Amino acid sequence: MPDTTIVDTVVELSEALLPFADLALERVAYLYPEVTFRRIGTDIMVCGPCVEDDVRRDLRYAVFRAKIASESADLRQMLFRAALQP
Amino acid sequence: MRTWPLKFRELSQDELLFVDDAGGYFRADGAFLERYALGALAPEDRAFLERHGHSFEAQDDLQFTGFVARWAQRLSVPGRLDYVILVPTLRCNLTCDYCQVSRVAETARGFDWSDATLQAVLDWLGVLETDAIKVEFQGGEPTLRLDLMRAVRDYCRARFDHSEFVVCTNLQNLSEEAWDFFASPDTHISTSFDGTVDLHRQQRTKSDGTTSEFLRNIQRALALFGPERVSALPTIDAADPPAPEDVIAAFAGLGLRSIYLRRVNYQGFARKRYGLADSADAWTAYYRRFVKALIAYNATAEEPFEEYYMAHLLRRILRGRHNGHVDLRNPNWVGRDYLVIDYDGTFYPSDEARMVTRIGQVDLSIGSLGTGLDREKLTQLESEATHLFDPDCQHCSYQAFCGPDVIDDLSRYGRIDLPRPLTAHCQTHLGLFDLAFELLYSADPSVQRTLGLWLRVPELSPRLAPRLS
Repeated sequence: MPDTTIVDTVVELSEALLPFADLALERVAYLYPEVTFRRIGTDIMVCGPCVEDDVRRDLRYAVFRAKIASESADLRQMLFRAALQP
Repeated sequence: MRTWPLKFRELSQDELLFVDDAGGYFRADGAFLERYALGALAPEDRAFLERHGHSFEAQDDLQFTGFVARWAQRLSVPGRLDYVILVPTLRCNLTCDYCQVSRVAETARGFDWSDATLQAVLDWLGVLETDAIKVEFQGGEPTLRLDLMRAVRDYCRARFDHSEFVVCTNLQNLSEEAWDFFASPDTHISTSFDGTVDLHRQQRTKSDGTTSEFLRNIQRALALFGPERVSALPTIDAADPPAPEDVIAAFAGLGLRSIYLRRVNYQGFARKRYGLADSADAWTAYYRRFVKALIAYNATAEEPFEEYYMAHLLRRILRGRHNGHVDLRNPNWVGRDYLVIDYDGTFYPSDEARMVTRIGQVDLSIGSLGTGLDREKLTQLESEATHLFDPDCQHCSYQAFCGPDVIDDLSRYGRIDLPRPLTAHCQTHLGLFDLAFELLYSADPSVQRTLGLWLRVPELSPRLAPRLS
């Protein structure tokens, strides 16, 4: 397993992912309680003890998940209505 | 075309598992994830998603309706109360290491149903709306009160169209009357056998004489009633587990064909003392070793073995409406289709809830024979009965197959609002579902043979391992 080091890095997000960054950070923050995440413009500053590759991957996945969930919220509503409403 | 939301989980460097809300799944690489998440699906992606039921063209078309039906079948619909766990006595004639809270000494007074409690149990059974009932006698050691079990069984046989009974017994000190009680075809035996004879003696029976008595009794039970009516469950300490091969050999030697691996479920101070609060990794590592050993055994065995829980997880992955196991379903309703009635007539939603209450950690009783179900408490406990809206579960690939366990969360953490990935229930099931999917995608013939046996199909179809490539 890779060693944890003190990381001080920047993760850049594309324009398409930016609207979902805050939602993603809420979920990632508790996975890395000792790491500080700060969003500045299109960048997310990551600072604290972690494995850099892991935190980059988890952050990216969290943004993807937030985007998928947000953009498919109407589908889930349709699903619940179709299945559960009498 | 609209694609139903896909949840993903990384399996290896460049392979991910994708699962939709209805439980449809496939594997694909990281490039597909980028295309999917960024809204740039290729024509081949679209064709694959359509072919495998992950998309639809218009609301109420066949693909849409099929998906809704598959999703609905994943939900556990509360039925009539038809499964009851009864504790006619808390007294027991063994002092097992990990059973400090659900037993008292055999000579203790005041821990059996009174005549009034028995009558109240029968009256309560009498007004149930079901035509079929399953009664599990727990303890303590229920064979210490054969008279109470007999009264309940006689009543149920007369009251219900169909009734079935399970006696959870340690198979010690059995009288001929007890054997007569077991002999009825509607009555099953569930006992504990801790994997190997040495371990069973160490953890439960404590002496050679008592151990020999247990072995004689389980052999007699299996000879008389067969493995269809006799089951034995090992309780495993994840910190010091027996070799899987030894457990399999011991169970096979007794003529058993199914193992349900359970880890020691310490409560209260014992949980702290044994340091098992964070043992999910150790348990899943052992579980992996065990399933691997079982697959190797089944490759050549004439009488193959099933590991009950992994077989159950595989069935839940592959089909809906598989909600018979009350510890893993969604929503996980409380006090609706099954109930525990303790030695004093108190209701509990599960046996673990009974233990948690008994050590004074939190009162999880949900009423009593005297007062009926406590609706306010039920409402509180059911506030987190479903994981559909949990902020972590809604992103989890295994959501469609998993289920929340409020009682376990309360017993371990005293609260139910921890982020799921920080809970033992979630960590353990992530590991177990990872293993289940590894098995489903394995090309190893011995793995496929075991899965075919567990799923009761002659051979595994490649369609059970879809891959977008």
